[in-house]
Amino acid sequence: MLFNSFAFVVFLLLVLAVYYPLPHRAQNVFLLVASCVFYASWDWRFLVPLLFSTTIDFFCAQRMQQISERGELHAGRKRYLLISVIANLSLLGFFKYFNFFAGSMERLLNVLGAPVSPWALHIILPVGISFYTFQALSYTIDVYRGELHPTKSFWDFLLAILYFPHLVAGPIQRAHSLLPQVIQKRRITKQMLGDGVHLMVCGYFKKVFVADNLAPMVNQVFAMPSPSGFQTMMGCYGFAMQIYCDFSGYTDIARGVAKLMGFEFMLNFNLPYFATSPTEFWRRWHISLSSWLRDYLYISLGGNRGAAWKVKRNVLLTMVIGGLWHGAAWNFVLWGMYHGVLLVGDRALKPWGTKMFRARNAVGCFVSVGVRVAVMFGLTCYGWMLFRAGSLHQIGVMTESLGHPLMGVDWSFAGRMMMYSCPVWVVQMYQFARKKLMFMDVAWLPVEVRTVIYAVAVYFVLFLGGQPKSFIYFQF
Amino acid sequence: MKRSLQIALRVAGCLVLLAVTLEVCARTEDTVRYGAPFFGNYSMTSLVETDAVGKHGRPHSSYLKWHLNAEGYRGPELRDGEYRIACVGSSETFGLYESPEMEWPRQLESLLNAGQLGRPFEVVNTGFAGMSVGTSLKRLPEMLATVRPQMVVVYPSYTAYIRHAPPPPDKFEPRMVDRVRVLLKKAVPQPLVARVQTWQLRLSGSDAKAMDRLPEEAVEAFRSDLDAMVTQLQARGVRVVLVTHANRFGKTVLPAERSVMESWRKFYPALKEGGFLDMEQRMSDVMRAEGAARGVPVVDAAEEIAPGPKDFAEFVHFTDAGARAMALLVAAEVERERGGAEFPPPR
Repeated sequence: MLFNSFAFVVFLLLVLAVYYPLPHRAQNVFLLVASCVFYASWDWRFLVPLLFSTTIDFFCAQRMQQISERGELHAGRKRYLLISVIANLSLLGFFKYFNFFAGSMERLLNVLGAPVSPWALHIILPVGISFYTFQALSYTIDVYRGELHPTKSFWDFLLAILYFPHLVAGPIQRAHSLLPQVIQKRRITKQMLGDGVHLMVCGYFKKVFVADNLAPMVNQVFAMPSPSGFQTMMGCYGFAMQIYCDFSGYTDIARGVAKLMGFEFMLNFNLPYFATSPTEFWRRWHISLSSWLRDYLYISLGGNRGAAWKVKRNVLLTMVIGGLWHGAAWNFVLWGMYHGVLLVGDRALKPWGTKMFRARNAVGCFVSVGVRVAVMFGLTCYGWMLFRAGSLHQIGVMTESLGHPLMGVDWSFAGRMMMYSCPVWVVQMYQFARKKLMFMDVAWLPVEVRTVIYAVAVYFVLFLGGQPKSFIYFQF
Repeated sequence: MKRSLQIALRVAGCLVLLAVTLEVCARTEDTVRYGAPFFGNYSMTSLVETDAVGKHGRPHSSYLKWHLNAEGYRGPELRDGEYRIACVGSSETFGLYESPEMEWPRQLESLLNAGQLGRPFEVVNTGFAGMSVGTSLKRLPEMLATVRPQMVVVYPSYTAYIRHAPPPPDKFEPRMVDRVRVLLKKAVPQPLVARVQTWQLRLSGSDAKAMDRLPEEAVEAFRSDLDAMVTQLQARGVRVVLVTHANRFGKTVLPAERSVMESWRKFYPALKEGGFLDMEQRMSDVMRAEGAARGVPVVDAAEEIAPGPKDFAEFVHFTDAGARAMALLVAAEVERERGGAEFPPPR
């Protein structure tokens, strides 16, 4: 049941109609049932690994708490943390990476002259496994670190993991932010309802009008055996806009749906293409994942402590694992490594950059920010090419073509891409200048004008959208 | 109380504004994309004009993907000096669900011209939605005079012989209504749509008055019209190819296809569901018999085109693949007709 399907719209309306009149506890029970229905609409078997993971995490957190209360040895708590981490990562590793590593090993042995029979299993990847595994892990780690008091109710914990708006593609909600919202009585204000609808309209516009219309053009470029430099540039640009609108569109819809039910999800995207440096980019792009990686992986590896080479190693390792999280393929590893190198380079060049881009007046500041945003956007687009390419050979061919960027110029193709992405840029420039994401939330804009703007957006979504497609991040 | 009223009025005002904006968007899109007038009606009826004989295509008109030529036929303008085949039929021939240029007469032309028959062919699509063989017969002299075909392929729709109420007169309808209708048709599962249509039929009371089977007089009327058409064409020295009518169900309605059958019935409430396939069978038999009696080749599309959703967008109208299957069948017959001998010389 995709967010951009008629079935989901009907499902949501039914859920809301039943949800509102119920008392708090009954709301939770109902949401749990609705979330199971939502997840089982893909395949009911997907519920099995999810229940396995949540049961183990709940049990481990309970045991850790009991050990703490008894004042027993720290090692006992660590044992339960390890059980949780190993169980979750084994689950993820089996479903997501078994065939990848088995295939890579098989190819390596074949190259080394020791042919082996294929090891691949027919494993169906459960939708959203990467997201809920990380969510569940954050719960046990937080309990272990003493940052979170575990819940006594398994059903509350299960709902926090299974809650359908964030289940399949995030945002990766931390237990300390979501669990209290499950446990305590929720209050739905008029403001929340308004913001929820606003986010949903924006999300559908980004996904259905922008991303789905760009998809065929991007696919066309990435299907070419040897695209020209201009086509590669347009393909990279188009994919950058497609993946952003696809994923942030999904997140907006998820956050909007959650708001309609009185939940607050964390912000996942904060104008990422307006970042002026790689470090800032990762503070703005997929914030729930990058902050998860920072808090649970980078810091666990040692973070900024220790010798300079260790910090660089930690950054690179975190980004490579972050790349691999996206999918079991070498291009994701390469993409992660590319961003790791950018982050390391950014740290190394920071003192020089600060001097170089120091602005003395408003015009200088504008130019300085503009240049840095443009450079960072170019670097990001190249990274998206690594992410989207089907093979290392294709990466080579496309990279080579970028040496002649003006070869094969096709303005009508470029014009169509710009036409679809232009509304996003206009709105985001306004958001960036105003430093506020809720761009309709302005006192001078009468409600009638807002109605007209929403109506136009709804028309674009319903009648001018591209062929319906699944969300890109559902595959991760 | 006063405050509640104010809020209610404001909400109602916003809803009206929403509806008006959506309608303005729809009209703007029609103007930008299809060159449609911003004000006034823009619907399928803009393709139709009525004269003493009845309805026919309005020359040079267009609506969405449908464009009619100077003669009021769908497709490009007539060209000179080519071997011309006219396709006579109803909406299945005119083309409804196929992509532009993919209706079967267009695909037939491409296939013939890509083949080895040695002469450029021109296929003229004279079919029009809702045309029975009887109506085509009335228009035949006019069609023969303007198109001057060497061959006519007749692909009739049988349902025109079911007694049914004339379509309601053209009335003003906001353009959003049609868009929403299409959107719902795409989004809502077919069985649900069919269930709603069945309820509508029951509520209208037409269900009780419906016939179990098409009366023999209707089949006889079809036989008589078809015979008259073949006679007139043969008298003019025009080669005739008859094509039996294909549908999505074949000989039986599978449980999975039942909802599509219910949708078909919605258009012809005078006949019960069980009567449709019986009608198709009897009418096709008439065509086969007519072909045998008059020495006219019959392409048995009813038998040859596989039932199912691959070739049929709904009950009888083709998908691109279905139109191609149809074009291939007719192209094979055209090649057989040629049989190594030359076609009659062009006009």
